[in-house]
Amino acid sequence: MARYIVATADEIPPGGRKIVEVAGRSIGVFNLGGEFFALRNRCPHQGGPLCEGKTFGLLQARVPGAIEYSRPGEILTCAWHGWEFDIRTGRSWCAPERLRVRRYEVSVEPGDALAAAADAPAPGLVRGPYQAEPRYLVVEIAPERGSNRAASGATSGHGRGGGRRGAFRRRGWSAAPTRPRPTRWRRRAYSSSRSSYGPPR
Amino acid sequence: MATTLPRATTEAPVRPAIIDCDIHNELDSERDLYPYLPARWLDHLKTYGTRGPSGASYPRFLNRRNDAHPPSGREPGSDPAFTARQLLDEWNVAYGILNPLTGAGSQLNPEFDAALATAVNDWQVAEWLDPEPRLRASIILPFEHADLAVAEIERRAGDRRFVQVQFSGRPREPMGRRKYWPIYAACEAHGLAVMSHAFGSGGGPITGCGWPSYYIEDHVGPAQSMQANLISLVVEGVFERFPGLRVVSAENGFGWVPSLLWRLDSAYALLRDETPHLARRPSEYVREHVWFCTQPIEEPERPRDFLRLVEQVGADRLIFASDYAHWDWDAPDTALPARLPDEVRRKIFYENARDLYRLPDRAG
Ligand code: FES
Repeated sequence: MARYIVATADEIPPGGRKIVEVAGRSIGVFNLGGEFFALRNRCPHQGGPLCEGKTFGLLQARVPGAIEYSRPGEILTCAWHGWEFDIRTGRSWCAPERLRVRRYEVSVEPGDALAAAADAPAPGLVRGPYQAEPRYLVVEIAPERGSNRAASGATSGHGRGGGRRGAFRRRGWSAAPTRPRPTRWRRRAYSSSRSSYGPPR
Repeated sequence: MATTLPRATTEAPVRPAIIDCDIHNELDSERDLYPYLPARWLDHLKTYGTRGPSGASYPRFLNRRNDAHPPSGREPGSDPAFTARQLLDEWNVAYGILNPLTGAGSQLNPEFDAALATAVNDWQVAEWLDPEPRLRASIILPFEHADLAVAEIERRAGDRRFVQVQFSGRPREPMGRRKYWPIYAACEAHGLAVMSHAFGSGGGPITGCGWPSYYIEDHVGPAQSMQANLISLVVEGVFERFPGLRVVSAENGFGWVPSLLWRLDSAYALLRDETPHLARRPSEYVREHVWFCTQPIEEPERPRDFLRLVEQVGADRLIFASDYAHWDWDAPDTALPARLPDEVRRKIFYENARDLYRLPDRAG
């Protein structure tokens, strides 16, 4: 587990965000009312820059016409086609069990603690100098698994990458999927970028 | 708002060259056209403004990708240098076909419509085609007025960078009707294709049964209009009358094509004597004369359904389109929901459009 300092806490006001590049990944760090969340800036749909999209509240209607609007600012819509994701969980609104974007732990840490840690540095933690104030945002990133890492857009140099980039690999003209019949949205598991969803790691 | 740090650059392998058949070059504002309008029509524009039939589309239709705002501060899609960088360079686009959606072609005042179309075409030449050799363009036409439209075709035909003419998805009459035939004759004579681009309106609703409530109904609606246009083009005998005519459907989907052709063919067997001018089954005309842009791509849940669909429509009928910089664009690398064999992919992303538009090879 590598830890990266990505910002000072007061750099991102409530409702704000910052997009950072760490460990070859583009990551969006969001402030929801003082709590911080980090999501991979790559949409599981077509690989668009998810974290550059607009944020909205959650719109629901239990019956037609009875519209409820809640959690303003907590739903992120992809900058390309507008798929909705819950910033707190990384789960998509349309298929929360199956389709989600990689989420990373964010902690808020005082500078002096980081300075001490930097003396015995964890991998990825950039050396100081840190001041006691302000506090820093630290994102934790687990190394990607070998096969997935090779497929990640950030490391393969395919620009945006991600999404269904594996779609062009030859599978035979009428090739049946190699896995059981997918349930809803499951087909995206056939793309090479499985690292962008599944349980957050 | 978002703050973006510079991204680490990595050595990117060169992507295979593609042809993008639907790029939208936008006006930052109407003012972009001022230099291209004669004084008489510039005064008209400033005094009376534009007016087409109502109900063309929701403004939402023209929303753009959130990440396509050029640093120049101009509207997404309106800065040629930025379009070249974000689209042509990034995706190795060998040729990109421009389709401006400006309101020219649907003005109620016919002479003004013609002047506006001419201005848009002059603007395309000066600000898009001249500076960027990778671009080709659609001729914007006052297509409801065949005489004026043919005059514009004659004006552009010598410039081979214009590869087709553009119709809106919903003209005032179905596209096969005789009022449009002089346009097809001119296109055939000059080797220009005819593109029907989704949306726009001749005044009727997007459905065959009145006005729907939601934008999502508009978003999936163009397939209905294109079916009507396609049936009309076939059964009116346009492809018999103009055997060299090539028609391109943009942004109308293609999942509906196989079932429509099955139905047309079986209806033809029952009703052939009503349209004796048709020498062949309807599907044969479509398979010979019509191409379909891929965007917005069909996304069946099972990848194999997509493969079957491509087989049924015909891999030689599909041409890749990104729809840059509209919000529902398709990214070349990731749009297809299933893996296609390399030779099929090459056809859809390059060879079909190269042959259709008779473009010199640039695949390298
Ligand atoms: S790439 Fe994000 S919604 Fe399509």
